[in-house]
Parts: sequence; C-alpha cells; structure tokens
Amino acid sequence: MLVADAMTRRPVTVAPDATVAAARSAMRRGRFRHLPVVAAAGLVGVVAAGDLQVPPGAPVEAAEALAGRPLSEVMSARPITVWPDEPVEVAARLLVDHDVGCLPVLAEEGLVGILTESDLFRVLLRLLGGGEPSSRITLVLPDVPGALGRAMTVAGDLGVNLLSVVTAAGPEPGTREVVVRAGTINAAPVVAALVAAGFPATGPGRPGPGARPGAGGSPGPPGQSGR
Amino acid sequence: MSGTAALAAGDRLAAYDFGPAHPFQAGRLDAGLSLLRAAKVLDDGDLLAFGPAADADLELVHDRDYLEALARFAAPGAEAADPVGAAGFGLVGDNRPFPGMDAAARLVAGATVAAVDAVAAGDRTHVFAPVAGLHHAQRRRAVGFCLVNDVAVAIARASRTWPLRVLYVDLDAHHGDGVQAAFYDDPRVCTVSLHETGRYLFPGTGEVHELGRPPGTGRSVNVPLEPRTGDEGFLAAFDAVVEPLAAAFRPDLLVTQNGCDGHAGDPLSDLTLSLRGYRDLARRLHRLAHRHCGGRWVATGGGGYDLERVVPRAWALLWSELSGRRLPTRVPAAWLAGLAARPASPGPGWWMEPRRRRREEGRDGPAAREVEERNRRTVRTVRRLALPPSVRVVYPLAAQGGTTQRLPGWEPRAGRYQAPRGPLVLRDRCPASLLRRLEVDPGIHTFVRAAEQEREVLARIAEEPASEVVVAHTPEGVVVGYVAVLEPEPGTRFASLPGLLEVGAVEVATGWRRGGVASALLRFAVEPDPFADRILVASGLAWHWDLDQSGLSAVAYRVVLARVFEAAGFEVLQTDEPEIAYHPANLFVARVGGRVPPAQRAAFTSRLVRGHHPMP
Repeated sequence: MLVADAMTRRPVTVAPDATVAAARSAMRRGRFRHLPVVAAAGLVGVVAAGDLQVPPGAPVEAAEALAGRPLSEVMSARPITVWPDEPVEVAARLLVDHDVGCLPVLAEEGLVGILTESDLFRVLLRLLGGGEPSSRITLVLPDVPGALGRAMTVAGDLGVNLLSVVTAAGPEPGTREVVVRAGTINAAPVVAALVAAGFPATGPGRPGPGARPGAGGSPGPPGQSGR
Repeated sequence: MSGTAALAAGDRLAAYDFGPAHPFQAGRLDAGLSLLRAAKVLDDGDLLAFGPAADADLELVHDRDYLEALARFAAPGAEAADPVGAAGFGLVGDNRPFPGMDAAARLVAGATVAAVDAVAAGDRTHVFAPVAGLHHAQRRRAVGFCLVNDVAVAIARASRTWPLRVLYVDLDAHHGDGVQAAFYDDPRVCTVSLHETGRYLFPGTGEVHELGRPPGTGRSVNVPLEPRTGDEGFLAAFDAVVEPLAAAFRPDLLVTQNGCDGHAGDPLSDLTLSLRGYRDLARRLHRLAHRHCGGRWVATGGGGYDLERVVPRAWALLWSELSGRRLPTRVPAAWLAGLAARPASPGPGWWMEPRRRRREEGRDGPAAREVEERNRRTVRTVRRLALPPSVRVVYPLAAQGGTTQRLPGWEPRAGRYQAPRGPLVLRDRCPASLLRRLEVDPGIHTFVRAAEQEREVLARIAEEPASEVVVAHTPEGVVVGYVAVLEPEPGTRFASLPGLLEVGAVEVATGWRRGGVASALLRFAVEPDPFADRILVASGLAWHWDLDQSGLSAVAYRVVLARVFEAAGFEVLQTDEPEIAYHPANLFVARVGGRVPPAQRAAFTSRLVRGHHPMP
C-alpha cells in the first residue's frame, strides 16, 4: 500500500496571496482541514485549520484582522512532503516525527495529492477490515514460526475467507496477538475449530468471560478500554 | 378484507436454498410452514398471492449490473468458470451461487413487496413474510446469506409509490446494515436496529453514532447490545427506544425484521433470548402498529438457524400474534414426530420456555450485572441522540434510584400572557389533580400519539419530587404549551453535579407558535427564587427540531431557540460533549443562578470541555 493509493488526488489548493477568510470558506465548502498553498512556481506551503484561528479569548478585532491577512503570512512554508511511491508507513512515520497533520505529495510534475491524518485512518480501517461486513475473531498465539499459518489454515479449511489479519506483540512475552476479520456471518464454527486446534480464540460463540474484554481475566484486544 | 392478516409465503420460496449443509436452506420454510399447518392456524385464504419482484422495484435499491450478475451466476457452472468475478459481487463463501438463485431472490422480494402493497392499500392490516427480511444485501453485493434486499426494496416502494413514512424495526441478532445504508440520508424512512454489538459479531457495524446523513440525520438508530443480554435486557432496550421513537417519528407503516437468531439455541449469536422473549416482542410490535401506524404492519422472518427448536415456533408465535389465531396448548405431537425422523433430537411439546427466575438463568452474578450496566449506558446514549427531549419526558426511563434533589417549596403562581391568538394563563407548581382536569391542544405533537396517556404525562412529571411542570393554558383550560424541568438523566456528563437541573422540554402547540409563548413560559418558569441556587442546562440537537413545520433551516432555528433561552437568562456555551459536537447547529445553554457558589460554578465550567470520549 503506497502513498499514491491512500492520498487525496488533485486537492483543492489556494494561492499565497489569498486571504485567511478565503481559505476558511474553501475548507468549510470542501469539509477538510488542510490546504496546500501553490504559487506559479509550485508548492510554497500548507495551511491547517488551526493556522486560520485566533487563540481562544482573543479580542474580536484580532479575529477581524486575521481574516484579511494573506496566507503567505500564516502558512507553514517549506512543508514536509512525500513521494507518491513511498509506502504508507513511511508517510505515517513522517507525520509522527515532524508532528504535522498532512503531507503534500510531490511527484516530478509537481503537486499530485495530499495525504492527511484522515487518509491514514482510512488505511487503518482497510487494514483492520472494518469497512466490510465481517465477524471479528481475536487470538493469542505463541510467537513461533508457523503458528499464525497453522491457525489461519483452520479458517481456510472451513471455506471461510479472511478479509484482514493484523498481528502485534502479545500481552505476554513470547506471544502474538492476532485480530482477524472473517468474511462470514457464520463465524462460530471457525472460533470452535480454532479452539479445538489448540488456539484460544475469542469471537462469536465464545464472547469471552464477562462482557468487557479484559474484565474477567484474559486480556482483551487493545483499543477497547475506552469504550 | 380490511382488518385481516395474511401470510406471504408458499412452497415456491423453498427455491431460496444455499444447500443442505448451509444455515440458510430450503428446510427452513418447510419446517416453519409445516408447524403452522399442523397447529391448524393457517388456512388457504390466509395466503397472499405474489410473484417475482419487478426490475423497476429492485432497481430502487440495487444496481442493474448486480442484478445481471445474479442472473449470470445463477446458471450452473458459471461460478466455476469465473470465481473471481463472482466474488466481486460477494457471491462466495456464505453466498455461494446456487442454480436459479436470481429467480429465488426475486421471488423473496416479490413476497415482501406484495405484503407492503396489500397493507398500504388497506386490503390487509398485517402481513407476515417469513422467508424475507434479507437485510444485509447491499446495492451491488451479496452479504450474509442475502442476495436481494427485499425489505429495503419494499420500503423504498412504500416510500415512493404510496407514499408512506416507514418505521423499520430490526430485531435480528445482526445489525440491519443493508437497510440502514439504503436509507441513510432519507428523512422519510426511520430505521432502528437492536442487535448484538459488532465488536465481534457480523457485520461489525451498528454503533450508536451511526445516526444517518443529512437530510436524514437522526433517522438511523442503533442499539448495540452485549452478548448474553437475555430477554429482560432486550425488552428493556426495546421499550426505552422503539416506542418513543415511533411517537416522535409518526410513521404510516411499520416494517419489521423479526430474525430469531438471537435465541439462546441459535448457533449464530450470543444474545441468549428465549421464545418467550420473542413472543413478548411480537406483542409489543403489534401494539405499536395499532398505536402509531394505523395498524399497518409488515413483518419479515429474517435470520434464525435452529430449524427444529426455534425457527418454527418463533414463526408460529409471531403469526399467532399477528393473525389473532390461537395456538393449541401444546406443539402438535404429529409435527414433533416428524422432527424425530431428522438427525437432531425432537423438542419438547411446549411453545416457549417456562418463565424462569434470574438466578436460574445465571443472571445475578457480576458478569450479568456488567452486561446490564453496559446496556443501560448504551440505551441512555441512544435515547439522548434519537429522541427529542419532549419525547424523552413523555416516555421516561424507569427510575434507577438516583438521588433526587427536591426543589424547595414556593407558593404556586399564576401569570398572564397575551399571545397574538388570545390570552393565556401561565401556572407553575400545578398539582397533578389540576393537570388531570386540563385538556391538551392537539397541536402538541408529542402527546398526540401518546393517546391514552396525554393528560397523565404532565401529571406524572408533576408528581416527581425533583421536577417541575409549567404550563400555558387558555382560559378554557386547554394546555397549549409547557416547560418541564427535570433531573438530568443519570450517566450524562452533568448529571452528578449537585444542584443541577435540566430543562427537559419546551413545547408549544403548532397553532400557537411564533407568538412568544415559549419565551414567556420559560421566563415565567425560572423566576422563582429557588432557581437562584441552581444551574439549569438545556441542549438542542438539530435533527430533533420540527423544521418542516417551522420552515426554517437548522441554523436559523438555532438562532430562534438561542433567543428564547437568552431572554430567560440562559447563555449559549461551547462544549465538546459529543452529542452537541456532532452537528454544528446543535445548541447547549445554561443559566447559572446568582447564588450558586463559585466552586460549584467552576466545577460546572470545567466539565464543558473535557476532551475525552464518553460515548459507550
């Protein structure tokens, strides 16, 4: 999965001499929060919605003055950019390391797109299979070669298509946690077969102890504690 | 024929068959119909005639090239020749093509369309289509045993052709995602799905924040329930959400998906309902249809995969409720004997499980309490998102033993207000007995559909120790407006602050609007001295507003509403409370009384912006 697959193509752009007010209304119209600033010579900066606001509590006059200023005065000049053929994880790394919310995508011919935090969330959703109707199964496997393959074969043997498989270091050393999205409404047989094959699984038919993942003993998948 | 029920089913529907090893197989229909016949609750005159659905109807919901693909892959051998092409339309795994599948799917949709037509035309009052309710199918994709979304097709037809406002209630264990998606932006179709949470269960959607898209925001309602919810929890969620939603939406037609795959014996979910629970749900739907939809009700069978113990009985109980035919005391022995010929053991002779105590059901442990608490939180959030405040007031949640903050007494007051349409009397501290003697103007919508309770509602609120009802009535004793001040619902952001109360509802009858009545009522309501010690809050969610009546945009309505509150000393505040932040026109106002101590004021202010995520 490359930046080119995840970015927004042909983004709306603004000129450096356009006003803050004009950029705000472009953002409102397009329902986005980042705008590349493009001059005749090419990309010169980016503005984020936050650059177009006065701090809370600032006097009304300050807000009015800001609205009339040109973007060249408020934009981030010389923004961090990325090539379209970089992998998405490289782009994610850039966003994190430089603490920015978007990356203009530059190819030889110039600006070809923009990659924002929201685009990366869409990638995450795709990776986790959350965008397609599916059942969710979680497993904790021994972190040894072949364990993941053997577990996934169980589903394949039942004719069930796996839409996504994500693994990460498990709750205990030497374990891997696996989150599977199975493309079936009838996932209980898969869960039962996994358990029968010696892979402790949680999912339809075996919702785990208690309702809250982690409340009854075995640690639940990450990201659910805040529900 | 008006007033009669019908069954939209026939042996031809057995063609919808993914094969003997598949949960959705021809045997389902046979098992269900054979029990109805054995129990002698089905006559030939009950059967509704139907044919395959027309292209024009199917294309209200599905793309033409998907319908063509269904036909193409229905030919024997077509899938083997192009498995990747078939998979592109979801025709793989659960939905493996079978010969003749497009004709079978069209027939299913035809049954549901005929059911809706018969009810809309007034030929029948209720129709049950057992092999129907294929609620997962998408515009161009087969999903979860569903090739054609017959319910969405029938609703689309009802909405377009007749045209009716449709309330769709989905009780299947799985989220009704396909139907929700088909009407996600449609304000004339309200979909509500109660299902097992998608945390693990298919299809993974149906969270409370899936509310619809403009102009249909607020018309998609989801109640995701925990595994092991059981009858009691499911019925409580139904009562807290569905009935008041019907009162708020004012539908012309009720369409339901009565999947019984949430039964404890069903292999596909973990909701652990019982047949008794499904019988109780059918009774409630029946009552709801008569109370809110002029009786018009189309029920579809939906999911359910325990073909011996559950599905036939669930269908029989539903048909009995809808047709008024009484089932014999015991399940016919001859029918049970027929089951014995099959591999699984025969069920006992009862129609539903005996009523059991909570302890016997294993529902009194900490795990069960955790399930209840989580479901309660979910239901409260759904209510606040989906129900206008006045409807929540009319349909309150059962009291949960919170601390009541009794308002100190003051002498009941009466005032006068000269509205353009005539003089009004404003009164507070009305005793319940007085409220029971007043009439209610039919222009107060919230009460109109609450029919037999309309007068009781105000009286009941007045009897609550911590609540206050202020009414505006004509000299002849007809209530044309009211303000209700209540304790905030438990579990909400400001609920635990001492001394805080919520303006739960401000409503003025349609014929009396634009005359300053709301403003006058609110100003009058907050005058008494004890309110100087209180913080009053109120919130307005744009999708609850009566924009059709007022002819205003959401933003313009917000301005009007803000003015009404500001005139009574309220202030518009910014908050990141998720319900308010959900839509830019939503409004949050508060009035901090003059004697509220600074520390209490600060505690309130600090809760306005909390920056975390309290949605369940």
